[in-house]
Amino acid sequence: MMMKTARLRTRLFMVALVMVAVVATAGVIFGTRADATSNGGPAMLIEPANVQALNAPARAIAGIPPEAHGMGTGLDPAPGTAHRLGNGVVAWPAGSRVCYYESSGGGCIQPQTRAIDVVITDADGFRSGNPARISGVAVDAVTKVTADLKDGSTLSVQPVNNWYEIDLPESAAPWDVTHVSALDTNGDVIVSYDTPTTPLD
Amino acid sequence: MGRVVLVTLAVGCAMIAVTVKPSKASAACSFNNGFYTCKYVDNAYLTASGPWQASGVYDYWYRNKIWRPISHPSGDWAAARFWNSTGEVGYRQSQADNPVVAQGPFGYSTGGCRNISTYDFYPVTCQIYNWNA
Repeated sequence: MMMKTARLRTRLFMVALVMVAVVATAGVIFGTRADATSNGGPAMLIEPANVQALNAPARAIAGIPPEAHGMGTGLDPAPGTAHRLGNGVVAWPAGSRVCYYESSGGGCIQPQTRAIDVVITDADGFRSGNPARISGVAVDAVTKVTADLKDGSTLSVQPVNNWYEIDLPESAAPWDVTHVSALDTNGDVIVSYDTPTTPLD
Repeated sequence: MGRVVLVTLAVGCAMIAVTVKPSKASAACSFNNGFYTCKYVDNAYLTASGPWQASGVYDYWYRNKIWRPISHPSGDWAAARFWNSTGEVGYRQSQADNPVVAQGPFGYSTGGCRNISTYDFYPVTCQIYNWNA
């Protein structure tokens, strides 16, 4: 009888141990996942380590591309450090910052910027000619970028090689955009940026 | 007597320091090896959603840049643009790029920069170039 009780206790102890192990493992797994997709996680910052295309040898550009300069002291690329993001955009690391240049301009993204860089351009007259465009660098964790417009519509796109572009309707001006958001694989919003909505004169 | 003079001078200097605010300068243009550039905003204070700061100079501009500090997590929107007699020929706004660099229209134009955020900026510098600076 005492032997049976002892065995039962041992089994119960083992079961409890396994349950504790399972709960602890789940905690670690989900804890890590939450950190990787949360607003403030380090993987969400636009830094060279979080932009895969900047680290892919196949996307490297030899030397210094002629357009990749003029950003300021310490922000121009070292030879061989520039890479091509999606749509042929040239990007390079500058310390912890990411700099880039595309056909309509460029810049160096401020440290601590989360998930996506948001740039709105228009090559010609507002609401005429070529449509205005939203574009920018996206970190690896971003699988979708959405843009909300004043008329209630939402446009979306998937980044390609850490670069996204959203063409606005021809009738839309840059100030018709109200928010630009970055989403992760679960469809959760990583960050949402308000955009200026006051018409420019 | 000497102490009074010193105190008066100190108070005067302090009043000047408080009264003099950084202001926008007129475009300072210069040639460099055949290239031309104009710094049309120099360490200035730009108010939130303030007016366009125009360079006031026409040329075959290639790049127009605005630098400002960025201090808010959601970004500080700044814009740079080119225009000519036909209207808008190049516009760029960004919340996190610093500098914001707008590419020129490959034709004659003038340019400007602007704080389009809801926060004041200081200091801000805007400069325009007739080469791929």
